[in-house]
Amino acid sequence: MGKDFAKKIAAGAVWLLIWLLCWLTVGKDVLIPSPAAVLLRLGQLICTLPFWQQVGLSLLRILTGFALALVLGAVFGALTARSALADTLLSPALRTVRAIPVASFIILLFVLMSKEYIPTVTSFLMVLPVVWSNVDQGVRSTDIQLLEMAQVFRLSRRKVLRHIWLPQVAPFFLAAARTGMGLAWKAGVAAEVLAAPRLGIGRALYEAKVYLETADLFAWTAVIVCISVVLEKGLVWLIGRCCHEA
Amino acid sequence: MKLDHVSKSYQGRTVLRDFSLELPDRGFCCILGPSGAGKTTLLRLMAGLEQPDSGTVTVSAPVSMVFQEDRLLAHDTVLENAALAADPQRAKKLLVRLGLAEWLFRRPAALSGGMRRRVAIARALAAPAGVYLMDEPLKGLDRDTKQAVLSLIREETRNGLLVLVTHDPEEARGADQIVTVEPLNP
Repeated sequence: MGKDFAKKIAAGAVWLLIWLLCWLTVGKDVLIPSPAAVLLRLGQLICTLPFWQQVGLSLLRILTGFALALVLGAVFGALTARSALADTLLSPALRTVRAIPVASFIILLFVLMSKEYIPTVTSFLMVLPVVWSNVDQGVRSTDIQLLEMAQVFRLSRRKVLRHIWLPQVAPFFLAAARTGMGLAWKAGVAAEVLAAPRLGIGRALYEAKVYLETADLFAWTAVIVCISVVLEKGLVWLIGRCCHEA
Repeated sequence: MKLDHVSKSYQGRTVLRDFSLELPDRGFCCILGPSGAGKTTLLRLMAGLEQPDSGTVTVSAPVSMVFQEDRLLAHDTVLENAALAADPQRAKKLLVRLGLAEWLFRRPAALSGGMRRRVAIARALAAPAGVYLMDEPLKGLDRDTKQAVLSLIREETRNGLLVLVTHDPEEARGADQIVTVEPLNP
């Protein structure tokens, strides 16, 4: 483990050196700021209340969309796998949603609703087809022999759900949640940049671009990367705990 | 239990044709026959897992079954599997009698094929039923274990109807009724 950690530090140092060389070569802070300037700006931002308000609001918007997509995606997946009518009705629509680029959604939503809701709806629409598709696959791959066994032993619906459906579908659902988390975060921030709501990380990025505050741009990007890593690690930890308890 | 002029085909291949059988509420019936003769189809019809193409199947009591495959839940322990449709105390008692006392809290993946078979048998015997359908329940067990397990099955099903499918005439010894099925000519 110590060796791995040293390797990671060495890799980080190499990239930092490359950044330094680029800064020295370009020689214009407005194009590439120095690592020290970015670090300083990051430190200043963290010490302000608006920073935490912006981060909190972005997280709230994006995680709301993500959570809604988890719930509805699971319901839709179960429906399309078990009902031919639901499959005919929902699957083409969800496949279409999956194929539409995130930018198209954001522009379309811009016309349809208040810009405050666009990041939530964008995150929701990005994650929904991923969860739907995985849960649908999980339900379809459920062992028919076990369902027959449940039928013969007259198991209650609750028991069938707990002992057969959930263990079978859970890995598919959790994989979708893990993929969806990164997707929701990136799409949500992109939506904030384009929609520029009153507060949010995307709004901060947008303003940094408009006022050519490149150090701010880099600092906010670092914040986005850090939150993304924390969210993914947190989700993996949560999944691990759920699996352990199950 | 009554099968009245039952016929069943799968993808154009007739497995049972105009088959009739009447069994009492109690007793031991053995269904003998080579592979492909329709023994498993008979059990599936009795269990209500298949509907006949023609004829009727009447079963007057709740059914319990040992399938040809073990059909155990991989995420549940041995005890949870055996107690799936039954009182855990009864399931535990049966598992102990089947020599699985040390394995109650292990998962099926940790067990040998013969052990998993015994868990499936415990699950079927523990469930409240009047008809016990067993599709080659002793498959994969050694000779001594076979005798002990068969004795336990006979003892635990004495108040109901035991229908045991096998292709081993040894296992049919002591049966009240032996039904022999043969593959149908195409």
